[in-house]
Amino acid sequence: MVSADALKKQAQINRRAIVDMIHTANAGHPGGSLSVIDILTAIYATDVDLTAEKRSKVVLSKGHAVPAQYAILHHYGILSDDEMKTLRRMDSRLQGHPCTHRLPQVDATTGLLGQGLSIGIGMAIAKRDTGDPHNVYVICGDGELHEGQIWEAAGQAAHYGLSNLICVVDQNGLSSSGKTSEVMNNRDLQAKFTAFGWQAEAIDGHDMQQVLDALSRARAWKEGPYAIIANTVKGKGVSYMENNVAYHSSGIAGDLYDQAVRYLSKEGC
Amino acid sequence: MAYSTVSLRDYVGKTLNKLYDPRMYVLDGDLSGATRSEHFRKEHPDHFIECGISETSAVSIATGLAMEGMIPFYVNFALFCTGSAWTQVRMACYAQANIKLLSTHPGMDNFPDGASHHVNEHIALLRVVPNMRIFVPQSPEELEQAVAQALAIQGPCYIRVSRDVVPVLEENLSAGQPFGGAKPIREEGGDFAIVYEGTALMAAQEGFDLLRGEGLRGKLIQVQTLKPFPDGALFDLVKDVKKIVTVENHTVLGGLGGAVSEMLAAHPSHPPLSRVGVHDEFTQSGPTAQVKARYGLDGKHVAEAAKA
Repeated sequence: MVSADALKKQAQINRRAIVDMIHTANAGHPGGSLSVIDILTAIYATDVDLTAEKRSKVVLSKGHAVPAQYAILHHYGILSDDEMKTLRRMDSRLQGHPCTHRLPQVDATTGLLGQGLSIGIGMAIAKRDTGDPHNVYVICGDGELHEGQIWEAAGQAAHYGLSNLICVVDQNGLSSSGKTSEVMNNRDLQAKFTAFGWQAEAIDGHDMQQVLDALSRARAWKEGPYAIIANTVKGKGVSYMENNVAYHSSGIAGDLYDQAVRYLSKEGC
Repeated sequence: MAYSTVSLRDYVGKTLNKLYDPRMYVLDGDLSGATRSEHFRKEHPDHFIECGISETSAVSIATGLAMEGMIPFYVNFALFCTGSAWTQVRMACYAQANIKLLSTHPGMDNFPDGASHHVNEHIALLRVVPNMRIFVPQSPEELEQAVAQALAIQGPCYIRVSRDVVPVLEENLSAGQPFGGAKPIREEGGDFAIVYEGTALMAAQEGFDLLRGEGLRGKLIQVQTLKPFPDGALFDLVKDVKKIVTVENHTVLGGLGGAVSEMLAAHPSHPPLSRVGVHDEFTQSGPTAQVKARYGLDGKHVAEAAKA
């Protein structure tokens, strides 16, 4: 059993990898990568065996946060130190958004928001029908939930009763141009998923024990799909990025990179 | 000349049943009766997924199934397989996902429903997406061959079949050659070449017969694969005729006529081309023959174009 403390430390190491990648590329989406990394670290550590032929899958529907996924693939030895320096470079496997035909371990090609939950449904149906007992995790952003296709999929997942499908919403409260609640108010996401027929709960997406406990409950739930609304902080872990919409899409240059490194070092990484 | 006729949609579910593979799934958008995928639903209810009226999500669900090694067929009206879910189809193509789109009601085939449902843009919409393949069969036998090919190909494919009736040609029944590319149906002379896609067979055939009745002798050429486009083979068939006419149940922009224009433009000299189809306008409701005649798709338009 992985301890919350160990995962917390691992998430900090992953944060440093995210910051390094985006610094080297001088482009990327640091805010949403840093908000989702605790959740992703926990999912991979508890239920994704990247060496297995049949395994649980992770659809990063908010594909712009892919540096977080690359950081995890680096941790598990899929990506080398050198390759981590190639984010968004020509001919790199590390495209600006997940691309399975270049890097199959990202599990789904995403980037256009709103499509991942449906992709997860297809995977979950295939697993259910072939007796594959693994799960499918779909990671959405809260801004992404403006997309209508998400709600088509939410209805379908519940209609089919897909208990091997878990949707985690990284609710960091900021989308590209401002507060999600002001751009287009999602209102109560837990209530919305519940109304669509899901089992849903809300947690603190940076409290590793809460994340682990919620994932356990989600996996144990056998009556249909499960939604975890993870309340997070955009840019979490780098003080000047936290809750700062400017770091939705941004490079991390010069002094700001040094500051970020110093801040993450203080936090124990 | 009188022909017996067939609507290929009647063979959609039956063909999928005949070629059933345990990896196959059929996804529907609440139109299984109209597309005839209901025949598949009856035989394989566990591999039939009713997605409701949610075209975008249906295509992405198909992508997810494909990522797990399944072979999903999304069967719907041509508009709902293409324009309604274009960005989802595009992402599936980018992912090189092994999804199959099988559409009925192309072009003006959904005649009484009017311009909202006449999808005269769908070939153009999918021709421009990398990795996509587009097949247009014109007979039940060709439909079976096209589905078999789609099953054998690892990657996205689009098969479009008529909802309106098309003539049953003797050539169809005795074809005995692999489906694909450009196929000469008749080769009687060099006065003209009518180049058509399968759902426009009725107009192409009628045009050919009218011209023949006037003493002209030409070629009737079916393009079975709209993508990849059979540039070389088609050019060899048409390069020496006096006039080329493309015939399509589609706008003349960006579809078959567009593809033939692009092909011809690569050559220093070639016969003149006229494109028969819808000329950049929205259509209206009406009886099939009247709608198609009004918007340019009948034998008379084809014959006039060949002589122009």
